[in-house]
Amino acid sequence: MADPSTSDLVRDAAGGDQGAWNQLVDRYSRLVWAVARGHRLAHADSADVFQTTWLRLVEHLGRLRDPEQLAGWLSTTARHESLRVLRLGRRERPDDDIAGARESNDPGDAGPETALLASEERASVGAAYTRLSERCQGLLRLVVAEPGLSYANVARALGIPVGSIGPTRGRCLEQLRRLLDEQAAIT
Amino acid sequence: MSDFDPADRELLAQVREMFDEADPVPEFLLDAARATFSWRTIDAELAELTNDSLLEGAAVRAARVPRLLTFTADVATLVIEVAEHVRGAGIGRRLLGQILSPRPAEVDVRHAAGTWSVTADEFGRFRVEEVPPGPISLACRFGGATQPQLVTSWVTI
Repeated sequence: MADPSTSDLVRDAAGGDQGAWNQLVDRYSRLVWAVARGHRLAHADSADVFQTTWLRLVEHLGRLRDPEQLAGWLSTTARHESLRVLRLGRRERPDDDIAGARESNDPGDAGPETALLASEERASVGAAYTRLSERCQGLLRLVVAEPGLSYANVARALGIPVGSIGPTRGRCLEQLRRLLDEQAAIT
Repeated sequence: MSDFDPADRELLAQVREMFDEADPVPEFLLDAARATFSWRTIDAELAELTNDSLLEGAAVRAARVPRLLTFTADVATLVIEVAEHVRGAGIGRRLLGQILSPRPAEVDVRHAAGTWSVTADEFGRFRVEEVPPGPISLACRFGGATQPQLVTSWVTI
């Protein structure tokens, strides 16, 4: 049996179906997380953006203009919330009980790039990725999180012109490949 | 964006794998996202966030200037002042609210850590101390109603 369409899941969730909601969460969590982390937010701030985005969807389930375009709605919402949290500034949350992962030596705490560097040895792709420009990192992360995202939605989520998405994507992949080749040559 | 040749597809699959390993969505957040469904309200009007002083003006916000959030619905407008409120070891926020047009109400501040319930006075004013940082939404009941007639869009404070 084919997977249910996103608009079917939205309709069922709006009608009170927790199972449909869970499927939406499973389908699009990577994307929402990628947008937050793509804004170089620390772990706890990314967690807030992630949660706020899903909470906002709960209230908007019956109000989406085009439920099939949920990926676009989620990535735009997560971007707006990321910008807010960036403006709020880095916060100290000594009594933070949300994030069990907030140990002082948690590599995720300092931001996504640090977490990736920690994985450098086990994954050369990670090492090459961290040497890409910020724009390439953000773009590739979105593409792998949700390959179905339209150019327009990628542009909106990253805040860059839609016309530059195609050429930038090609250039980023080329750079990544070159960096991997370089690494292979010196090891 | 799925128009890739096989070599690109292979490379992107490696990138995806790398993220799934190095920076996956934390399991506790997946659980939290599934649980957000219980916040669903039916029959309440949604007040959208129509203004956030944080997103206006200079890129770097002056320290300690309270943030103003405006939520708009047909039934009422809510203006909330959010101030950082440092006391003891915890860092919470103090919310000063104003309902327009002014009227009394029962207001619930909904937060992952719990719900804070306060009463807005006859001038539509209310105050909540020490709300922890994180996503919040406000639900308002007017005239002794048992179900909220208005809920605000969620926003991170």
